[in-house]
Amino acid sequence: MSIAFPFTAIVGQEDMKQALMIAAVDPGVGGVLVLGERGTGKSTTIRALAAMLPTIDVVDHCVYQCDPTAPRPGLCTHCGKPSETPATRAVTIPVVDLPLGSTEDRVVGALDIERALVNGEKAFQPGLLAQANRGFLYVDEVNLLEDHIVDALLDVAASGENVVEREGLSVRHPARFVLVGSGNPEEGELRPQLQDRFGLSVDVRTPKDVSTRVEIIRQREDFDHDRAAFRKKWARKESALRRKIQHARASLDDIDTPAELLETAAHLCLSLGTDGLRGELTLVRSARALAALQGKPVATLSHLKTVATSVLRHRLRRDPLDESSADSRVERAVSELFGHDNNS
Amino acid sequence: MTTTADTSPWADAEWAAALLALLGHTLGGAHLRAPPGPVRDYWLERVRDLSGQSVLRKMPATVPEGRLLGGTDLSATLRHGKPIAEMGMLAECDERIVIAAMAERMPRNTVHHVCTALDEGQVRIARDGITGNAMARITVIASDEGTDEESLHPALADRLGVTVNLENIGIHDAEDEMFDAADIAQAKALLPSVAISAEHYHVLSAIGVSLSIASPRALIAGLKVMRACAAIAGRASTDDADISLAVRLCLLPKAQQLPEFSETEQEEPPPQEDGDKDQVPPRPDQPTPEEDRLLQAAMATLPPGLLEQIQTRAARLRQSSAGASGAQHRHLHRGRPTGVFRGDHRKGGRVNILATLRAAAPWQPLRKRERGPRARALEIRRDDIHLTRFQQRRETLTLFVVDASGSAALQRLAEAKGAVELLLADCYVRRDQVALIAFRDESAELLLPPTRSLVRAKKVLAALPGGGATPMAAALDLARETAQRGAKQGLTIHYVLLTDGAANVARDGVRNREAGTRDALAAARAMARSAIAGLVIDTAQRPQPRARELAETLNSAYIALPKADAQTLNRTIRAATL
Repeated sequence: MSIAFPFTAIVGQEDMKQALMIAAVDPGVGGVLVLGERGTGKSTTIRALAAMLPTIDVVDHCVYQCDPTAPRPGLCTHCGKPSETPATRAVTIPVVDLPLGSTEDRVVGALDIERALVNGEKAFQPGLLAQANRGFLYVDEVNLLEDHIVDALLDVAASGENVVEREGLSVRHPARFVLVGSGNPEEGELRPQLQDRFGLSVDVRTPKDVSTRVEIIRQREDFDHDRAAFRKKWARKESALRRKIQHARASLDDIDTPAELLETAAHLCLSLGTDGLRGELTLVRSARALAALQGKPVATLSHLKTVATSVLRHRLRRDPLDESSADSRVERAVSELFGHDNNS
Repeated sequence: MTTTADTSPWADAEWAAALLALLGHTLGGAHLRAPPGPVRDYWLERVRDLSGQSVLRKMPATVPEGRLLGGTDLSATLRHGKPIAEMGMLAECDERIVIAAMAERMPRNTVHHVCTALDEGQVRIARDGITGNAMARITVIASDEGTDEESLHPALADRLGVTVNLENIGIHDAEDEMFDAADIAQAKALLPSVAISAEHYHVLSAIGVSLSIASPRALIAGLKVMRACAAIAGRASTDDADISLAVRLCLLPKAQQLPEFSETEQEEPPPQEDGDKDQVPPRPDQPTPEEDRLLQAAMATLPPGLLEQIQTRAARLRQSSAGASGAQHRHLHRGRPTGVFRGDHRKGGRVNILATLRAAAPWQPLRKRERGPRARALEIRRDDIHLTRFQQRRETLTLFVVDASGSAALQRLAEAKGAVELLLADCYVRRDQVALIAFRDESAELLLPPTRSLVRAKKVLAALPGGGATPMAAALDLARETAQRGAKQGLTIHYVLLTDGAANVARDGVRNREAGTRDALAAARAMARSAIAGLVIDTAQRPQPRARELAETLNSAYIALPKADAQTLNRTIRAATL
């Protein structure tokens, strides 16, 4: 494995880093979509996240990384059997790449052909979706992903379960993952159904001032010069952030959610006319995750305000005659809402 | 060995060859703009000699994805009765120089895989029963013979450190060998100790900003080139000549705009921006005289003619900021495998060996028992056979021809814009491309070449002005050319002409209603002969016979829409073209 660039050494791109950290704290926010032009460090940042993630306990020898403490339904057929407490081990939260050009058999899993031919066994060879269970599934250039792979993803991302019915196999296994996609919007649109699956979306741009750019290229040069040494230099910051994420994950359930926050989220979604409840739920979850990250006991309106653009920008109905960008529409709605609240 | 002050076009090419040999995959590679011929061959020979590699591997643009990434080794798999992996071309070329031939024609997926290899030095595979990574630290020479319509995909161009332009070099200019393998070996030893001053970092970044280069990759390549240049010259720190070389090889070829210098006699200012303002970065740091001086010095050493080329290209890039990516999309869905199904191979189609083995596997013990001693190592029956499904459906291009003249504009331009956007929003699902021709005043213009990107379309639409005369004939001629070009690329074409039919500009540009109508009908007849299906939407407040006459001549459907909003228009168009 090549050594990844340290997450904490990435210059700028705060929106993207925040969205990814929120998803790391609460996988329930439903994934992150990163769109932006070339050379903005999209993939670098997402790959850097992998080294940043804390460990989780999994059932030993379980290929789906089942959670030993979770209730039985929802686990794989093996771990779901009532039995004595299983042996566990700790693994780092997996970040699995779904490369372009992947075939369906490797994504959803298929009959293990070698065992079938050599031993005459009917065994299931798990795919990338199994590897990604309880972790992250990363698709670079997500807007170029082939249709039949997108279809498979959509279904699994919605149900959290991968059902394989092929070649005489009938397998279902848990596949809950945080879908992370990146791409350049100039190269084509994302299918609306797929776009909907992402909880947060961020727009990344290259910084345009000289001193920030000098910093970026210096970091990159240092890294390329001696990757191991560079990582070592940042090790302290990296482990501090990793601890912060771990803490936030542990404290997430104890974060207070005032009724006011729920109401404001509902108002915001209503005023922007977003479809369904997913916008509201994600707003609240993201605000809570952000509060947890900051070590606060309560999710406040300011947390909501911070996450609003990322949560809502890709959920607005397209109005072809409205030239203003989605971002400015969200910002307008936020400022109207908060302004109104202050007056009353 | 020569000093860095030598700056003939060939000298720059020779430098680039030395840099490729010295830096290898850390530089990414070179974007080689050159026609086929002895100069290109000679330059490639120089790269080979300096790098000490025995052969430069050639990668055709049409290499299938399975060959590129690796997959199942068919004969070995059948022989051994279990899946045997085969190395892909990218992995085979680890630590080697690869020539991507006709790189401007490279399909989008191949571009992606080459980019991944350049970024990470490895490829990730999850296909045909194989999952894994393989080292692929390749150096790519992307040989680009593209003309205006096609050029190297910007994502790949961005990752190639240097650009080499041999277009204006004759074989007689290409003689001097400035370096030999020993120089490269010496420089390799010196390279790690070359220092770049803080000032030089700043200067290079500032030059990048004044050339509007957004991606930091060009700058990082620039730094590497500066170091390498100093190392080759035997210096332990960089100087102005190194910056000059880095600007010429790494930055100027990627410039989005050229700065103006008050003291130089640059005749033409760079074309004005229109509607694309966020593309131009604000210039918070005004370049200091020092940066100006260095940039000017670098520009002054460019071969004559190249600066104009850069300038025209930069202007074109700004118009369609995605470069030629639209052009590459069209290859994406032609002949791509999109799944596997059980079928009869005798009716044609490609057998998918892995899926077939999978289907046969569970039955092996049973079938072997059945056949007894005559059983073969693998018992495969006809209904095990699985075929690979290829995308057969042709992509559709909906070509909007929008009348933006004074007579039509006021009433309908906004609706037309809206309909195009709504159609685009459906595009991904429908697998369509959209192009837009607008006509007003003297001419018709292809504002949006075939694309599926809403972002691009929005930019173009927002900037579309209205008013002026109606050059119908020019519009129809351009529509026919665009449609024919699309048809050649395997697209199914529909056009939608939104107009009130009041042609009043002739083909020669003269404003005259009679001549305008006559030429328009002539153009319509030519269009009808090319057998392209379409739809005329009459946008006049009160439907006029002239639009109907035009539709009849075009042999196309005619719809009068005196009152319609974007939604209705969209529905009508969909109903008519599907």
